[in-house]
Amino acid sequence: MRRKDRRLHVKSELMLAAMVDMMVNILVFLLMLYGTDPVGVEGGEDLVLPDSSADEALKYALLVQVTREGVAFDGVTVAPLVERDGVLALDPALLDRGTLVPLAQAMAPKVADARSAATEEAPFAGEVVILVDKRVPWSVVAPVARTADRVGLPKFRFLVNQQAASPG
Amino acid sequence: MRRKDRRLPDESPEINLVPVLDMVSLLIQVMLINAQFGSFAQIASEPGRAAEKVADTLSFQVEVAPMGYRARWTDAGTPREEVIPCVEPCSPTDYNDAALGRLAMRLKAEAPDQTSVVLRPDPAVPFEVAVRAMDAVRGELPDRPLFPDVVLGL
Repeated sequence: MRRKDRRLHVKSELMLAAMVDMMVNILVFLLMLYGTDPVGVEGGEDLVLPDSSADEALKYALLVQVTREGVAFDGVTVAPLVERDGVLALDPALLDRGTLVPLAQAMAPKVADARSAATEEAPFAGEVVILVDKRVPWSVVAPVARTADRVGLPKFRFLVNQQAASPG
Repeated sequence: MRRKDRRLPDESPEINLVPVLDMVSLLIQVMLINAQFGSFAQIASEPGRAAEKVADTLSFQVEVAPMGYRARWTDAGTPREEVIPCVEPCSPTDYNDAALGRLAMRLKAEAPDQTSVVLRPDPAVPFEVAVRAMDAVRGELPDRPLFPDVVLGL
């Protein structure tokens, strides 16, 4: 009688299904992380936000970015920064009585759209989120804020890195 | 002669998960590189209007200058001023935020109903210094705000 072959025939395989399951979970987590940020902040060498003890939560609003490269609105650079004596500055040709003209031209239609879309339940808030690189001088920030005010966005929300407040 | 069995094998096909795993792991790497894990907050402020009088008895103003902070306020109708110099070379971390915070606390104790402060940064100071000044005058503790209404002198 032939003996049964008692040698184990172990067929080993990688459990790829479990690995794919894990990877998809991580992917979903990262997608949700991107989805919960009300303001799409893309950091980089040219945009380092200052640290602050402020704890007010971020709200969605029109976004102006002031990086070391220039001033951008809605993801489009409207005014590049120039370097004068080692200091970043706006091109004076783009300023008109303290207002940054290209920024005002870019913001005005968006503000008009926001006003027309306002309802009683969701009134026009007049808010603008301003992201500023911490190294940019105030001489660049002031015209941006002034321009936002003059186009009808007088409520500035400066975006900062939240730091825990020191005790006492 | 027996023909070779040309029928296709009837084993059920297996999904090749290796390319799927490869694609997902690449996506994760790209997203990790671009992910921002820090938390953000906002500092609210409004522009000061030239024609608008600061309707308070304190009239607390802070000038952020390249040499330090210069605070001005009104004490029973009398204008007061205090200079808080920064330590040379006056980089953003050399400003004496603690002293400005203590001054704000002192003024808050004298005028607890006042909530606004006018901030006038010098054009040459970096934005970071203005934010530090805002933090100092607003107060760090949410249950004990000092002067949370920051008005920018543009």
